[in-house]
Formats: sequence, C-alpha cells, structure tokens
Amino acid sequence: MKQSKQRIVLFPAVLSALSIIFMSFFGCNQLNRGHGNNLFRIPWADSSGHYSLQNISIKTFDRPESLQGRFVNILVDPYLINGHLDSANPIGHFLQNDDGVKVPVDFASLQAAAVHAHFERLAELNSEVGIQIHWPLRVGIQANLNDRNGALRNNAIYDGKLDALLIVPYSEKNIPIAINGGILAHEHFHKIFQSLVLKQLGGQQRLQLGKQKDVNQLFAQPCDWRSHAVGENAEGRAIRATGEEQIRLYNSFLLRSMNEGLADFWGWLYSGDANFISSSLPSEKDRRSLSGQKVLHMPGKSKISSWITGIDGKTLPENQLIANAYFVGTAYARIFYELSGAVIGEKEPNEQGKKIIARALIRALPGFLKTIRSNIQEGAMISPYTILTMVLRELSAVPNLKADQKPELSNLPCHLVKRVSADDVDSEVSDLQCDKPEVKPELKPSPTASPTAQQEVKE
Amino acid sequence: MIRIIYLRFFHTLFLFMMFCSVVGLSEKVRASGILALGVNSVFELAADGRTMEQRQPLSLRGGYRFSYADIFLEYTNFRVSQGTTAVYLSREHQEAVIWMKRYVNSEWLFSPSFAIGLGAQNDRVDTVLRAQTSTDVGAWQPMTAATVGLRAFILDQFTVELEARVSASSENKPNPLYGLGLLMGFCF
Repeated sequence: MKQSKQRIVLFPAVLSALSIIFMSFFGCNQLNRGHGNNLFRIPWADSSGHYSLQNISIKTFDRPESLQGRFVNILVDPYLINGHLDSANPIGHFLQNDDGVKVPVDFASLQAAAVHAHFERLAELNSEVGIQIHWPLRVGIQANLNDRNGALRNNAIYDGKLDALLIVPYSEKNIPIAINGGILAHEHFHKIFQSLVLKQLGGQQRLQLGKQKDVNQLFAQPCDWRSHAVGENAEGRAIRATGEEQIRLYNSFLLRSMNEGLADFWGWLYSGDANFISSSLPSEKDRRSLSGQKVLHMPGKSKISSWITGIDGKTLPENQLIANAYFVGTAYARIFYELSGAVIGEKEPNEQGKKIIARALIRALPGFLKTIRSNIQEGAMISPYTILTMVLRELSAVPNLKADQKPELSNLPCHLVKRVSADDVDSEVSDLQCDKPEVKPELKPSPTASPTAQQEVKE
Repeated sequence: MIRIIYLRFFHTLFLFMMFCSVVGLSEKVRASGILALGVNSVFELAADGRTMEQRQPLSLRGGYRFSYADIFLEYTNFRVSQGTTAVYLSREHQEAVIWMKRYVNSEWLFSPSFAIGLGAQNDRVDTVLRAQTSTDVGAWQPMTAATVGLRAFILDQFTVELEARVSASSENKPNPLYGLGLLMGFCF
C-alpha cells in the first residue's frame, strides 16, 4: 500500500520533471506557439508627427525571431565581404503579453519591427502609385559606417551599389531615424529614383576633374540630414573646371537636388507630416519643412550655376556644393507640396491631391529620363523645370476627380509651374499655355530665396 | 492554449509538491538550513547574431542541507536597458529554480559539487517613449539548469562557492546559456 502511494506521487513528479527538461530544449518559444496576432508594440506617429506607443499590425513580419519578413531583410551591424553586404543571422527578442501583442525586448528588435511596419505600408503606397520593385529590401540597422570625419551618426543612407538602406546609430534626444517613417520613406524614394532614372543613365554622367576624385561621387553621398552644418564646416577645396566639365557638374548637382527634394516630398506623402524630419532632427525643421515659405520662383540654370561655381570660376568646395544642392531640393519639395493642393483646387493639400501628384510623378519619370538623357548626350544643361513640365503633362491625362470641381481651378498646377519658372527667360515653360485664367491662391510675398540668405557661400 | 494551461498547472503543481516534500523531510531528518547570496555572469547573444553580451544576475538561495544533498530554491534577477534618450527599453529577467546539489565530500575544506535544477523564467519589459511608459510581462517559461562548482569553507558555517553553470529554456539566446557564479553561503 505504501509503495503504491509512493508510486502515485513519484510517477507524476518524474513525468513533470522530464517534461520541463524536454520543453527547455525543444519547446517552442512564445512567438511560435500560434497564440496571438500580428500586433507589435512600437512607437508610431500620427499625421501631426506626434509619436506614441501603439499596437501596430505587421502582417508581413512573419519571422520575428530572426527579424525577417516578406518585405524586408534586416541586417544588424552589417559588413562588406568581397563587395557584398552581409551580416550574421540576426536574433529577434520579443515577449508576448496577455493580449497576444508582441513586445520587443531589445532596442534592435524594436527598430526592426518599426522598419517592417513602415515598409509594409510603403509597399502598399508603391502599389497605389504604380511602382513595381523587387522585395524584400535589405535594410541594415546599427550599421557602423565611417567617413573622413569618423563614425557616422544620426543618418540613413541608401547605397545604390549595394542596393541597401543603411541606418547608422542614433545618438540624439529625439525619435531615432529607424523609427521615423517619413525618413524611411525619403530613403525609399532614393531607391525608386535610382532604379528609374540614375541607373538608366549609367556611365553618362561620370565625371573626373583632373586629379580629383570622380565628382559624381559628390552627389552619390549619403543623405546629409544636416546640410546647414555641412555648409558651415565647408572645406577649402576649389576645383577649376572646363566648360564641358562645368555642364556635367551642373547636371549632377541638379539631379542630386531633385533626388533629395522629391524624396522629401515622398517622406511627407507617406507620413502626412510636413515636418517629418524635425521629429528626429529638430534643427532642420525650418530649413526642410515642406509647409515652409512657398517658392515664388524656382531658380533657373544660370542662378543654379552660380551656386556651383564661385566668381573666380572655381567650383565651390564639396561640402558647400552638397549644402546648396539640398537648398535647391527643398524648393522642389515645396513646389510639389503646393502642387498637391493646387491639383484639387485647394489651398492646402489632402490625401487625394498627394496621391494624384505622386502617380503623375512616377508616370513622368520615364519621359524625364528620356529628355535628360538626350540633354546629357548633347552636352546640354538639364532644365530645372523639366520634371515640372513632365508632371504637368501627366496631370492633364487625369480626369477630374471632383464632380463639382470648378473648371478654372483645374489649371492651378499649370499656373503654378509658370509662376515658379518666371525667372528663367530661356525656359521651355514660357511656351506653356494654361487655358483658363489663374485663380490665384493666397501667397505671402517674399523675395526670391537663395542659399546666401541662409549661409555664407565660402570660396 | 488548453495544452499550455495544462502544462503550466502541472509544472506549478510539481514545484509545489517538491517544496512541501523538502520542508516535510527536513523536519523529519533535522536538516540544516542554508542561505546564499551570489553574483553571476551569463552571456547572451546580441541582436547582431555574433556578439555576446554579458549580464550580471544576482541570485538568492534558501533551502536545506541533507546528508546526501542540498535542496534549495534559487531566485535570480538581472536588469538591462537599451535605447536612446527618447526611446528605450528596460528589461527585467527573473528565474526561479529548485536545485538539488551534491558534494563529492561535504567534509572536505574544498569540495567539488554538481547540481541539477528545474524551474521557470520570465521577462518583464518597460518600453519608454518620452513620458509614456508601457509595462509588459511575458509568460513563465520552463527551464532546466546544471552546475559544476567548488565550495570552500571560510568558517564552520560560512562558505564561498564558485560555479560554472549551463541553463536551457526555449526563450534563451543562445540555448543553452552559459555562465559563472560566485556565492557566499551560510549554514544554520
């Protein structure tokens, strides 16, 4: 009797002990138990740029234990091997709370989840505006990169050669860049522009100035989210270029400006926040805000050329060139922001207007590529208004979306383009005919902007 | 889900039965009580999949010394924070393990030991975004552990012990996890 009582106690105790040992080695972790949903607890912004911790659905983040998903391959602290980007297999660490929400347990997992969430939505945006790209994208987080000044911080780089987005560590007191959806969208546009325009140009824009490095590299630099600071620390490296070299330099400068400006537009298009950059880098709020001072006149070829070459005919130092390129880029971004309202006859843009302009922009890029390719082959300077006229052409193909839209308002984009191109007498836009008289939106009067108003151009 | 609830109930019941048995047995055979406090080092795999990050758990032990083995409950805890000023995570890791430890010769001044333990662990995370904090607790997960060590008597009742430890749980990264421990013990 005593023995059978002992067996009654001992047998389940041994069985329980064995099951604990078995589950310790072979049991599924919390994430794989099939309990729960696709909700992840991550910082998320509303359209005014206010961030809060929210439970966000990420359906395509299907392997969180290795930080991988259908749209993104995450690389943590990646490195180069034989010119290819690689990393060890990342480890994701999440716990599942009582509601089944997956909560990141370390900072890398939190960043990775945010990246997956944003790119899932960027993929939807791509489909809406007619872009097809190959997924998954490669995104490196906590990427330790160096430039000549040391370790890069507070930055994100789309590298066209590696075809990867690299996010370096963030050390400031605001929203880390890997969590800022607007900045991720900005970088994502660089991939779009790279594949639809820059890659197609191939070696046509390669430029060597004497013994200097390939100047095209100046405009293949990572995004400089602090263009102002770069300008203040400009190095004195002046280059005297020949006429042909100057044209190539101008074309590279303009393409870089457009790339950055349209990327800022894309960041706003995705996030809905015209000040998305300031969430991570508050110092850039006034400089890069899309809802800032309206652009009355976009600088023409001669004015832009003056921001590339100093009065002695030497090109400006590298850092100053890049700072000026960002200045011109902001002009593009603000014009496209204003176009998003003008296209629907409103003072302020809305979702509908944004998407119309975005679709028109994507449809315009092949024609834009064709035009600038012939410019480059002929050794001619690309007009800064080419992209605007191309977009305008695509807009004319869009049927009226508002049944009660007044006919005269539908020409607002045309009048806007004519207005901003008024500075350049040689502009192709001067021949543009806007059928109906302009119904002018309210504009605050301001002088023609120039970088000299913001920073000293050092020679 | 039902299977998970059943297993957790079964494991909790097992641990409770073990605890009652030990207490009951200790009274019967007049075992000595033991207490120990220790610092440990364990090495977890970082998110990059190749760097080992050191954690330094503190542990507290209480139990009984029988003629054939020590049986005690150990509670271990460590905290680690990661992130930036505006966004960071503070993780608290806890373990509760019932151990059975045997010494080669408990009369020796220096005596090697080996032990096996069964228990559970969990994580609690505070996610902080500026002024907003969200606290989440994961489920307790079963774990198994084993140690080999060397104990030295400082005085009749005080000991110092060095241990090498391995622990396994489905949540560990890597699994199993390796570590070292240094403990000060007291027998009464």
